[in-house]
Amino acid sequence: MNMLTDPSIPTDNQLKDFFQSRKPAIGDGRLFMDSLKAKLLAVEEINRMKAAHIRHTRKLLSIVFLCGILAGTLLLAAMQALHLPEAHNSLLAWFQSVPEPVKLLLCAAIVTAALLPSLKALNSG
Amino acid sequence: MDRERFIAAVTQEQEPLRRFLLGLCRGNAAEADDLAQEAMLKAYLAGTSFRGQSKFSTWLFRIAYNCFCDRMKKILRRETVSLETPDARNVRAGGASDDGFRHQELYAALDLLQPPEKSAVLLFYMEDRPIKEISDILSCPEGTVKSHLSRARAKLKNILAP
Repeated sequence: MNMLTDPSIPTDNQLKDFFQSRKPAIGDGRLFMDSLKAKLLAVEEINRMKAAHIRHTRKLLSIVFLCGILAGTLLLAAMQALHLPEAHNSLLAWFQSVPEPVKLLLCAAIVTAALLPSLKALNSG
Repeated sequence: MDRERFIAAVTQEQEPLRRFLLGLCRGNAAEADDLAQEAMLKAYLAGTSFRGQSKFSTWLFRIAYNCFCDRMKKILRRETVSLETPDARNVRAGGASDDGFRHQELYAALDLLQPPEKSAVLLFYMEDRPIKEISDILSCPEGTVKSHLSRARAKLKNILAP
C-alpha cells in the first residue's frame, strides 16, 4: 500500500503528541553548568600554559641560534688572530667550493632562523 | 566570544541539547551529558569559527551530533561496549512507574530507527525544530531529512497502533 494512503501510518500530530508527552527528564542543569564552567577554566589554563611554553621555546631557540652565529664569528676571528691560516684557509676553501645558490640559501636560512624567533619572541612579550 | 557570553548562550541551550543527546544515547544520562560537555568545549575552543550564518543553537547541535557520530564510530571500531546497555534501557524506570513506562516506550520506539532517522525524529517531533534547521544540524539536504522522517513514520506505526 502507498505510504501516503496507508491509514496505519501515524500522522505528524500523533507522533508529536507521542514524543512531546515522553520527553525524558534530564539531570540538574546547575550541576551540569558548574561542571562545564570548571572544564572551561581548565581548558583556558591549559591553553595559557601552552602559549607560555611556546613563547619560552622560541626565546630559547633564538638565543641558541644567536649564540651559534656569535661562536662561529668568534671562531673565525680567533683563527685569524692565532695565525692558523691552514684551518682558516681550508674552511674558506670549503665555503668557496659551495655553489653560489646554496651559499645564498644557507646564509638566508641562518639569518631567518636567527631573526624570526627573536622577532616573534619580542613581539609576543 | 568570551567565556561569560559563551556560558550565557549555552545555558539557554543546555536543556534541549542534553535531551536530544539523551534520546540518541537511549537514556544513558551520563553518556549524554559527557557528549554535551564535549560538544560545548569544542564549540568554545572553535568560537572564532562561528560566523553567525546559522543560529548559535543550530551550530551547537551540529557539533554535538558530530561528537555523537564520532563516538559511535569509535565504539563500532572497538566492537566492545554497545550503547544499548541494560541501564540505558531501564534508565529512570525504577522511579515513578508511569514515568518509567513512558520512557521505556520512548526508547523502544527510538530503537526501531537508524541513527539519522532517530536524530531527525528527535529534532522534529520532540524538539519541534524546522526541517531547514534539522538539515543544517545533520549536514544533509532537506529532502533527505523528509525521507528520514517518512521512513521513521512507517517504522513507528506499530508503536502507535492502539
